[in-house]
Amino acid sequence: MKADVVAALFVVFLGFFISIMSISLGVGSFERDEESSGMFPFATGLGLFICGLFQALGSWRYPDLVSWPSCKGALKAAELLGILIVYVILFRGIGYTLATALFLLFSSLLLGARNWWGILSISIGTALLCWYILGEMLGIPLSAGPFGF
Amino acid sequence: MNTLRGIVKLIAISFMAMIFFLVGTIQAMAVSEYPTKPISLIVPAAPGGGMDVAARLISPYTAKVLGKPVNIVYRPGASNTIGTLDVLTAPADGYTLLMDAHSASSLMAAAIADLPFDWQKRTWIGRLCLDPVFYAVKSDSKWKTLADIAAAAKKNPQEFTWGCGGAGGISTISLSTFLLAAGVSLSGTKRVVFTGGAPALTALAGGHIEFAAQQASEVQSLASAGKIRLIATTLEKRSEDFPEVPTTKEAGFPQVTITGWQGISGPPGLPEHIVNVWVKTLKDAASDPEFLDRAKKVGKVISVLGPEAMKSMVMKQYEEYLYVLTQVGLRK
Amino acid sequence: MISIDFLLQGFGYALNPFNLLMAFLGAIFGTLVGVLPGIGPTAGIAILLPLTSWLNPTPAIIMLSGIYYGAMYGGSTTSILVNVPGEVSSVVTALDGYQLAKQGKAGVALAMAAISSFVGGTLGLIGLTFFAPPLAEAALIFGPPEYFGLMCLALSVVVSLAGRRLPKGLISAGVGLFLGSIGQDPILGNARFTFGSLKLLGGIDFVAVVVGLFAVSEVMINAEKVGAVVYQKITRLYPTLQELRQSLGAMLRSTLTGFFPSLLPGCAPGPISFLAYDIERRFSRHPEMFGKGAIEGVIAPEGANNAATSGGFVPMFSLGIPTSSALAVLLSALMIYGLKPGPMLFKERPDFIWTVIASMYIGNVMLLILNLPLVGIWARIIMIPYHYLAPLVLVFCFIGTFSIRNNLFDVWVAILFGLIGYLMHKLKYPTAPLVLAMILGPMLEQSVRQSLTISGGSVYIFISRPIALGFLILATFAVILSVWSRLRLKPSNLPQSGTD
Repeated sequence: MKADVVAALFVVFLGFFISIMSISLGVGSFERDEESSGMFPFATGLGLFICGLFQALGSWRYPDLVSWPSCKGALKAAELLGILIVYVILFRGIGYTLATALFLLFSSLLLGARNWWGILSISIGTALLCWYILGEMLGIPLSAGPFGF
Repeated sequence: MNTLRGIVKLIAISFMAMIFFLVGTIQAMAVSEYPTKPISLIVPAAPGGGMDVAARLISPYTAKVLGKPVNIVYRPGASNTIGTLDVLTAPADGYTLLMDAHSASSLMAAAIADLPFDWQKRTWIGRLCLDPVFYAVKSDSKWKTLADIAAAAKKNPQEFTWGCGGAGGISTISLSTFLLAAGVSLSGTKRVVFTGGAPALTALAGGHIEFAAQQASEVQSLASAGKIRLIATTLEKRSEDFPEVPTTKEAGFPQVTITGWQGISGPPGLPEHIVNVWVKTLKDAASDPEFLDRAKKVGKVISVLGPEAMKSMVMKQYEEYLYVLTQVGLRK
Repeated sequence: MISIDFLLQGFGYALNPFNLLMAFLGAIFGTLVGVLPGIGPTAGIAILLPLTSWLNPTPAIIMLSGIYYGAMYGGSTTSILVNVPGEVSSVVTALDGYQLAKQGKAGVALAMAAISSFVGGTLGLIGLTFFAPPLAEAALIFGPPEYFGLMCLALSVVVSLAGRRLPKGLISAGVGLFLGSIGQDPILGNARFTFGSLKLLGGIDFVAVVVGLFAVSEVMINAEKVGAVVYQKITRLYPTLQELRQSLGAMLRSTLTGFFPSLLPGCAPGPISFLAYDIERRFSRHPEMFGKGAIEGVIAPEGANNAATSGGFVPMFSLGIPTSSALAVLLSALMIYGLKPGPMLFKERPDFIWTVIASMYIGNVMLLILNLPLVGIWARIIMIPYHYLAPLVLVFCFIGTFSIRNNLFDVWVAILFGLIGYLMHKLKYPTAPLVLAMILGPMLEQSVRQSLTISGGSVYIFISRPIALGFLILATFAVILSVWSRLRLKPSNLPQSGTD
């Protein structure tokens, strides 16, 4: 499958870049006083380069049946990731509790929840619970929103 | 129905606005009396280290004196830079302070050449304690004094194996300073770097390296267990726990006086009245016998310095460390 | 034996109600703390350390040690239920445990994890009781070359984790090695692959990567088919007696695998659990089941990591060397009381040390008694409709990764690796090798460089030291064996990796 070959080629490039960057860190040798930060990553980069080539060749000749998702499915996964990202961005701005409640609300809706009582109670309840247990009891510094919680 | 919704919305919004203003007013009133809420003492390292122990010494004492909790918050990462930067960029209201140490100021700046922030831009409050360094060898080693080690290293540097607990840490500085003072050319020796004091001392006890230097709390157990022998200490006078260990001065190396230290600092521009509160607390702690006793148990030597003295100490150390690290080739 | 007398005396003190209560509280708090990915026993012990101000040393240390144990029990719960490892050592448990949960066997997995933990922990304690001093001495023989050998052996597990697709598995491991080297060079201290970012200088946190790779990606994968059944109905809550009998061998083997390496400072429980997992797979009659829900895949890491917990106390009490950061904090607690670990501790304060050890035995029993009935409750949690469960899991992941260093950066890492894990799953790249290589990489690199410094650049050091050589030979042997068995068996019988 094309995606597989592309991925393998990506690995080849990755290995190449890692090797190049390692050389700038200094590769050195086994001799005393010449050890250097780049030695190990260089070996890693080289390994990735070689394995990537092998894999690209293998994927091209014997396509591994990769389970590529349907458009609709992938979209759902992407939307979920999107909501998660928004949650993290909002966290500092509007405070942990509110951000968490909103996140729970929207992601449950996305995943197919329809019972409004359930959604609201779980969203708000969990958010408040987390704030108390984690913020107050365990002392994790969660941002407080404009209301102080 | 829409009107009802509209009214509810209006009430909700005005209620929220009211609370917002209330909270703001209360905060404004709070400035005059410090502290009015819990203080966060940021430890820029992982729990269990020297800074942590010092933080645990001072925070309950301060909390009792000031009447508000002093919470220890760990923010480890990147050789103490992440946590330090967090405090230096925090609001200067006295509620976010730094558990400062050599590794978060002088040593950090000397070791890392391109720090992305100005490490000197902070409010120095005070030094609390010293963390003396002990030089050690394996218990059955033929070397008995620092002079022995110096001679051996000079004679055969190619085979001299010494171990540091951490790439640019206090042990590296202590060992390098001593070896430089002894006239040993560092580049010919075998410097083995470990991730921390414990692995380095374990390797010493197992005979994989020949010479190490770590702080009091780290060497205590192995020395009592008889697995390693303490050769010298960088304190002014001999340690009470190990009275048979000479000081570096007595051993003939008076210029080798590296000690770790811990103290308190704050973001730049901290109001003077807040600084004074802390300075007084530190001074009181230093004359409180119970506090001194607890400090002794964990291997810290209480030696309080005020803000000015602390700043000049740090600057002096920075110059020293800069020199040593450049010699060792560690400055990046 | 003198030890027995002292131990019995210790039990006498340990069984007093207050000490029992302390052990219980510690175990509970530890379990809670172990469940959260970001807060581990280190932070848990650190949080409760202020209590040492007004407790006597014995009950305080009993409670703090209880936290350490409890965390090992707690970490596996979320690994199994929702693929969120609470501790580094629980990562391996998730490989098969989560698959079992999806098959409706969450109860069995949880119960077996608890029982195996109990066996491992208790047997480890017996080792501590009778053999502590000589074992601690023996551990000193391990120097950098020996560590290197051991790490190579652990790395050879990558080959079996790669399953059918060796090149992809190696690629995954290579990426893991690279990720582990981002940050400060552990020996020279300069920045590697950080592009000037201070956050990257601190390195990419392993827990954040695992949470993203395992949990976040799993939720994304399940999100694709909205309304599809993720967890099958629970068929059985507890293992049968026959299953228990069959598992005994696995439990004993994993105890040994876990106990001995844990005597070495800096030997993290992570690689130990991978090693135990691999050893079980080789002994198993159905190696292809590993990664798809083999119960031994849960027993092995759990037994090993609890044995390692007990083993960790050996160098700690005998020599004062903490083998992990949690023990380091515990050590500072001991010092606050003026109790200096070492042979002096055993001689001067036998009442203290043996009471603590006795209460550890009791603590293990308590945790078993606590966790077994809870299995029913835990297993039912995953019966919550997935559209509620998944968001809750994500909130949990957020808190967990944030609390690692109180830094949002780690949360972003988790999200990024959620996406990467999703792609890896679609492209059939196994994730376990990446995880293993990421932990092992730095250790491997450090021990190589330290060894070469000691030897002055000569590779001969690895051959001249018998223990190191032994491990290297074992590692080579293991790799050859894995590759050979792969070539020999028919493709359908090959061991699968967890992402298939």
